Amino acid sequence: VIGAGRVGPDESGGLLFARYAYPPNALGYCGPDRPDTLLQAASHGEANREVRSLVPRFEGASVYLRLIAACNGIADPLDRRVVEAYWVGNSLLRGVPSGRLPQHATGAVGAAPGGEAVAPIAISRGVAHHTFHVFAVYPWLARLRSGKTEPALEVLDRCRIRWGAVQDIAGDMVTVRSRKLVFDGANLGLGPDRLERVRREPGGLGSGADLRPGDMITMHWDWMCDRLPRLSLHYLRSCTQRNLDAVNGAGARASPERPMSARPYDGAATSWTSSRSAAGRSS
Amino acid sequence: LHLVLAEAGSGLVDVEDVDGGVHRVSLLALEGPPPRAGEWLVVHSGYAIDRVDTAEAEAVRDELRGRPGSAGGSAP
Repeated sequence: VIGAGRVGPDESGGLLFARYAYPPNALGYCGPDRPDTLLQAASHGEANREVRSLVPRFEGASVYLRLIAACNGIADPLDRRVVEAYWVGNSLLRGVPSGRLPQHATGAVGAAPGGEAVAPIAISRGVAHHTFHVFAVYPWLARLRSGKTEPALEVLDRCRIRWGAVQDIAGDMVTVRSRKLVFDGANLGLGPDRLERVRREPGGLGSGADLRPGDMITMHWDWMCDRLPRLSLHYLRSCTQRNLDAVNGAGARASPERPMSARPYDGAATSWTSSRSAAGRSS
Repeated sequence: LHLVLAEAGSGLVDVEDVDGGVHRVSLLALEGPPPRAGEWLVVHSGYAIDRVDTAEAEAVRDELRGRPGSAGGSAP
C-alpha cells in the first residue's frame, strides 16, 4: 500500500509510475500531455487503467520497463516491482545483463534519431535504471565535456531521481537536504549537501501525507515523488553511483554501495514505510 | 522528436510533437544556426539538443504513431 492507502496490489505499479512520471510530464518534457491524469492517480489512487494506457508514450521509460520485466520473467511491465526497479532500483536489476542495455537504449534513442551513440564502457557497466538513460543515453554529459555547462548540469541533476532528507514543510513546499550533481571537467559525481525546495502533492495527499522532518524522500525535477524506506535508499544510491561510474569509465572502482544482492526480489516495496533519519542528512 | 513550427524569439522555438502537442523549447543547447520551420529536432527537458534528417524523422514519427497508446495508434 502506498500513499493514501487506497491502492490495491494490482494497481500500485501504475500509481508508482505516475508519481515519478508526473513531474517531467507536467513540465511538458516527456510523455503525452496528461499531467492531470497522472496527478490524480498519484494523489488519489485513481484511474490506473488510464495510466497504463499512457505508459507506452513515455518512450524512454517504457523501453526499460519492458526490458526489466522480460529479464525477470514478469509478464506485466507495469508490475510494481518493475516500476520500482526502474525509478528507484531493487534486486530485479540484477536480472538484467548489462549486455542488454545497448539494444534497448538504442531502441529508446531510436525514437529520437540523431542521438549520439552510448559509450561502450557505459553499456558494459551500466544498470537498467533511470539514471542510465539520464547519464548515458542523452547527450548532456557529452555537452558538459565539450565545455557547455549550461543547461546540461542542471538538466542532469534534476532529471535524475534524487534523494534527500526532509528539513521543513511549509504548506505544499518541502525543504530538503540533498546532494547536488557536480562535474569536475571530466567526470560527474555527487557533491556536498545543499538545501533545495520541492513541491509535494497539493493538500498533502498521496506520498506527501503525514510528512515529517527527517523523512527520506525521492525527488524528480521540482517535485517530491515518494518516501524512501532504507532498503530503497540503498538501491537508489547504489544504482546512481553505479551508473555514474559507468559513464565516468570507472565502473570497477570499489564502492561500499555496490548494488544488487544475489537474492531474488527482496521486497523493498513491501516495506514501504517511512524511514526517519535523526540526523536528517541526505546520505 | 519535434517539428519546428516557428521561431518564438529570445532563443526559443515553437515545436510540435508526434502527438500534435505544441511546446516552446530553448535553443540554448543546440549547436549551429537557429532551426527553421519544417526542420526536425530532438528535444529533451525543454531543450532542443539535436537536428534530425527529415526522411528519418518522418519514418520514426510514422512508427511512433502506429504504436499502442499513441494518439494515432490502434490501442485504447
